[in-house]
Amino acid sequence: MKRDQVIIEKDCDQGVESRSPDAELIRRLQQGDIEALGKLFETHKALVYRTALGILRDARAAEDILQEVFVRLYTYAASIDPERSFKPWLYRVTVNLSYDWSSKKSPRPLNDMLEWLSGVAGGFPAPDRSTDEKETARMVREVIAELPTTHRAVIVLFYMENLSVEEISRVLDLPPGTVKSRLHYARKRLRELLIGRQRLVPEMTYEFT
Amino acid sequence: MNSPEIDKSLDELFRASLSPLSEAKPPAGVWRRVVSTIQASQPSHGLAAQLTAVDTMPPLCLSYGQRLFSWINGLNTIYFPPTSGPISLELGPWTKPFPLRTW
Repeated sequence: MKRDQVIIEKDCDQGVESRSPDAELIRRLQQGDIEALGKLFETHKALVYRTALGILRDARAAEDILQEVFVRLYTYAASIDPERSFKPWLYRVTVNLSYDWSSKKSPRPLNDMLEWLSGVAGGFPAPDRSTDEKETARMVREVIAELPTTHRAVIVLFYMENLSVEEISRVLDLPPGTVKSRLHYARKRLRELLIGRQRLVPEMTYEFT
Repeated sequence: MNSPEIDKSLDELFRASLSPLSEAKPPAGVWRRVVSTIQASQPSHGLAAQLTAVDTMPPLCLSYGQRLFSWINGLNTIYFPPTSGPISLELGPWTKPFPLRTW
């Protein structure tokens, strides 16, 4: 079962008192306990940071969004239902703040984004990989960099955070079909690049040409 | 190779490309931003604290007792309610706040 699936599926279990540590911390936060906010921050900071980083590829922006997410948690704590899973709220706010940030900034030049992705994803490809593998990895990064922010959010949640289509649909408040179409578009774009540069194996090329 | 198998292969390429990012963590110094100048006055309706950020990036927050203020770049003026006791300001994070100034 995927990493966050259990947690998010519990989101539907309304009426059953949640015994998760998050629920208890949120209750404490609602009573003004700022230490509870610190504990929630320590528990979830990596999730928020890497999600914003994956969508925006800007470490400084991801740091700002991390801060803002938890300031909003403090500000709107009273409106959060502690009985519901906390992670979907975190993903939703992180993605929405990433959208806001992206809409206010000039689009990052493609070459700049590719260079950044290569740097952050320093372990991929490994130095001893073949030229073909390196070229394929470069094309994957190119596809990700080309995607609109709204599409990239789906890619990050699906491939990096391992959320299912249904979970992403609930987090982003999108129809499942829209989530699927964004995944399909990314795959299609990668196929086109692989075919165009003859990086697909013959049977895969045959399938799509 | 059929379409689901191809999709699976493409999925694996995406996962492999993003997997290093899944280990990304915020830098430890993310909360270390400080203020350079603090000027305080005691107007009739409360204390006004004026703070100037050294860094161009905002620190996490400014906390005063149980109150928490988000931060914007540059010069900030924050008004606190009147109080009879001393006022201490701390800069976030919540886990490791450090004192800024006590009046």
